[in-house]
Amino acid sequence: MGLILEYEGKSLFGKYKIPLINSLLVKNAEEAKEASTKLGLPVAVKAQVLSGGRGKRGLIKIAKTPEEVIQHSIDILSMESDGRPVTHLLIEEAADIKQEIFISMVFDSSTLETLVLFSLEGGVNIEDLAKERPEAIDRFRVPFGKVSYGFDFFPALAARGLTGSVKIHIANIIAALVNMMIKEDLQLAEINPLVITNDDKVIALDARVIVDDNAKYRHPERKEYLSEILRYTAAEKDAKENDLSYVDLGGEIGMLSVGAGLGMATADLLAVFGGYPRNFLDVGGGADQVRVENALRIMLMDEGLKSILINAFGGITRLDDIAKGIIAARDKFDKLRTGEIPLIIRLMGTNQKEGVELLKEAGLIAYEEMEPAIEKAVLAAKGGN
Amino acid sequence: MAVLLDKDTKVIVQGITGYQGQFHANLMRDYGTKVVGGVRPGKGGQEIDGFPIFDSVKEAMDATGATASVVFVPARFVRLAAIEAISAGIKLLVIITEGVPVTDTMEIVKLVNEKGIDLIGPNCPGLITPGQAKIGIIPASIVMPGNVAIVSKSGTLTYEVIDQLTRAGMGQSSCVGIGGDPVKGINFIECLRYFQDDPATEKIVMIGEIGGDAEEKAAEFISQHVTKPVVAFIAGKTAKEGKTMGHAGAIVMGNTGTAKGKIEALEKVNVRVAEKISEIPKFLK
Repeated sequence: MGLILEYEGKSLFGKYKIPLINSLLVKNAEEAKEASTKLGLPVAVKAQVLSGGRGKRGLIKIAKTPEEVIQHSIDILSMESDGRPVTHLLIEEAADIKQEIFISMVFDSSTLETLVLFSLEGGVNIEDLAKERPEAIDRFRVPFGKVSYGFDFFPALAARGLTGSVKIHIANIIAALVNMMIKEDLQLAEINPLVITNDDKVIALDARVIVDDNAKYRHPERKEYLSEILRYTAAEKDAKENDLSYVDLGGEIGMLSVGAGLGMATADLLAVFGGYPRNFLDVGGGADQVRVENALRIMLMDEGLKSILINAFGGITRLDDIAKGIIAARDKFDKLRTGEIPLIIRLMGTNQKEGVELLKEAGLIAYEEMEPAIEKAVLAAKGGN
Repeated sequence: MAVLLDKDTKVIVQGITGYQGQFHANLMRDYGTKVVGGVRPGKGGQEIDGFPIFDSVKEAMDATGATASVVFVPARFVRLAAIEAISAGIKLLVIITEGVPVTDTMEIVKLVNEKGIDLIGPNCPGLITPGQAKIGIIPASIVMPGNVAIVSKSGTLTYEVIDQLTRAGMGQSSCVGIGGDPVKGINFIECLRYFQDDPATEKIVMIGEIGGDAEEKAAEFISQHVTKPVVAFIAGKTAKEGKTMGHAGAIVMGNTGTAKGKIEALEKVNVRVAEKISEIPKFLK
């Protein structure tokens, strides 16, 4: 999923005139101090990381003096989030907050609407609020394709007691987000908190945005996003560059499969036989020799791997292409050639005969049924034959 | 009698000159599907492997009487290909392509809903009526005519289930892969309705996976409208809990989306849920 960083989300918001507070992106304490001088103290020092709950984890701090800016920056930059060091900070003017508001929206795929959640009780854990006092959350529904205007939301906001320019600003922000969902190919747009300041300005203090990765070609600037780098481990990045999908799972069996559904079912079945996948590489429908070879190369980078299970049921994928990739990888990579990592292969479906024949000529055997192959992979991972 | 597709359905292939389109046009024809031509703008009037090529869906439909189209074009061209087929008056539209942006699919689904067109996909393997015809990429070698109907969110997992049924001597009346994208054409409920009304179908297999609430909704529909026995399988029981779609997603979906929640919902309405795929044939007996 295409979660992006706060500052990237805010730059999107800026394009749609959603009011923001001044901020600067920095990479070290020295830059942070300079930024705070430009912005004026106090400032918020905010880690640019993908996971939420930054406040509770000490990844957002308020600095009132230049010394505090430096100290907080050093502290936060020495921390980790999502298994990697924090590398970037957003230094932001501190807001003078009167009230915190929550706005969040997703597509409702069954009704083809944008579903907006809105509450005047922002800042808190909104999921708890939804359970304890659901009446504190409004839901607005906008049919797909309808352009939203601020005035669409005036009555609902007035019913919550909002008046004057505050009501109008908030309504305009909701409308802008609804329109962005479609124009910018978003899957989630969330502001928590959206704040009302003591002088009745409305400002988006945070931005939590998920973009649709399938629509990336329409938004080429997203290729340059820092979140693109943060989102993936080295193996995941390698896989992505080679048109593969890689998931790290922490067990002992490398699982290469064609299609995510079969992959999930394979993992479930491994568990039934007492095994657990180390990683999962989906070569996807229509995989060719090069993709299979790359998949095995990436898999083998993981030191904890004990065996590899290739489960391919060819529909759009031709199994002779898969077989060619397996053979090429076996010949190329030591761990496979020497048998250090046992390779268990199951082929079924389109061009199966041709695939099995190729493997046989290369001295490799293929299972036709899934369960015996899975059982064998679990056994092999435990050092059995 | 068959669901959605039979041996007389005339089918065109959008993207017939592509690597996948050409390959699967041939496999569909080999199985007996009436593939009457293909569409590739700029190559109208030519032929490929004996299939006439047309510049537009409208021309192809006028010349051949096709009522169904299968889309193999790359993801970024799917929106246009689908809108073209819908405006030309296609009755059944099958989109095999994966990676279609959500907003494009929403636009397509909205149009098919307005026009009462059956859309299958995107990101799906298509459908097969064993012994008659297939649209899409389900391998013909594993199916066998019979009375079990299958509906599935996952492509490769569908093949696995069909294969195990065939090995157990249980033929199929219809297999429909509805695709795994959150926004899609027909879903479990529409398929279950077709299967319930289909005289050739006596038993139903439903294959779901984690995410969304289609399985929960299907469970509710089964309890009210389906009298034929249903066996289910849910993939993703051991999958790591995914990052939720922010707070809105979590609040809207509540407890739905997990394998546990889906299995409970189905078992509550007396659907047997298999733990292993190999149990499905046993449960159908």
